[in-house]
Amino acid sequence: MANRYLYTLQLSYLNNQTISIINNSKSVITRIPNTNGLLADPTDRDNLALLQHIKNGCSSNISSTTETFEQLVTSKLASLWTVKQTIKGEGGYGYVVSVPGLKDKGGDEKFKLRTSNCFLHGLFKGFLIEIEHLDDDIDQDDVPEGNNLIVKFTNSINKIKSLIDLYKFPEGNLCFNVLNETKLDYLSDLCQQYCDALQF
Amino acid sequence: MVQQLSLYSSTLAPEVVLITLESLTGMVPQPMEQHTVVMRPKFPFKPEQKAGKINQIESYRIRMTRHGGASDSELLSNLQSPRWNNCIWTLQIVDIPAAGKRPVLTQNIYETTIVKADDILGYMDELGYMPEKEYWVRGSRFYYNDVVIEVFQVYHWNDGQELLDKQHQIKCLVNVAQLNDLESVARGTKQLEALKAELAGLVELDLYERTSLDGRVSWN
Repeated sequence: MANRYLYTLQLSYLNNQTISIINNSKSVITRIPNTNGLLADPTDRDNLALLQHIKNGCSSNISSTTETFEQLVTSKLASLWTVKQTIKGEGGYGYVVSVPGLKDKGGDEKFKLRTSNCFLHGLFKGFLIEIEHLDDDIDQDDVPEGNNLIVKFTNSINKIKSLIDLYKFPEGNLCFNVLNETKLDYLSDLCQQYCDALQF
Repeated sequence: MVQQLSLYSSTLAPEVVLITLESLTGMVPQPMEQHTVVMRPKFPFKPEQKAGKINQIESYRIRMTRHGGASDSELLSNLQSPRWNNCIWTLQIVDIPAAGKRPVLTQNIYETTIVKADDILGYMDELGYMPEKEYWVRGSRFYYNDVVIEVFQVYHWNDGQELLDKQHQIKCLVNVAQLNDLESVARGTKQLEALKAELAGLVELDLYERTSLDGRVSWN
């Protein structure tokens, strides 16, 4: 049987959540259900569903549980999966930058940048830069589909490339693969891109 | 992960038990509706048995539980159903309950909750698991100090949801988050024993046959 790879990604700003993809094709997002995040906005639809889930006794984990999905896989699914490597990002910063003149009509373009030093077994392996194009034209609730989506996506990639050129970012491996081309998903696609970028 | 302490019983007269529990806990029973799909590993796991080498690696079934009630139709015969991906699932793996003479059953439960998936069966397939069985659990929940009391019946699919056993099962449990939190374990045990004494004569709470709660898959 061909090798299978399972990746999990945990981000410090996504408390308690783990994004996991297998074989660059299927993804799930897991979390510890009853934690502080649930109390932050109890009227949120996802949180209400989670509350129903807990109330019905569908989950036993309690708020002091700290095990993540990764720990479940390594401890209880050892017959199927073994850990190959763990890469840790430290000393990271986040920025939102407004770049004048990049828009077709000469307006500002906004980008979200996140940086991190990546370590493998304590050894420095590289500097990771995550660049997100903040497109004002895309409304959160209005998810573009089909051709429109590809156009938007290509447009954002080009904007990011011009940002890299403009500020002379060091040359690196630019990863913008997505898990499923017909259906973009922010977190799973992010996880896919991290997996591509962090091949040490 | 939680360490679950529990005691069990069953009854054919749930009305009396429910009224007793209502007055004991001072609460209106909270409805409980669960739908569970049992997943089993796709491929057998048979590590080589070598002399002098103790093999600690086991393979386990995974229980996937969501909130789902009487109106649910069978999911196993409809693997394309959007319901698979439109809900929250908790994946659960359990160890065999601890052996030895104990006042309450002690079992380690490992869980993770999937809040979002585009193709959960596809993911589970890649993970190495396939669906095996499904069942529904319906009843009431009470809270008494740290103890959760569940009174429920189990249904399986047979051209519709069919009751498996006329008896109502009673499960009393306390979850402790840390393995080494002996203080909470002692307190939970004490509370379960107190509840057992409180309900004596009405229902006899007791341990459950531990091998029947084993989550491991036997390949022999």
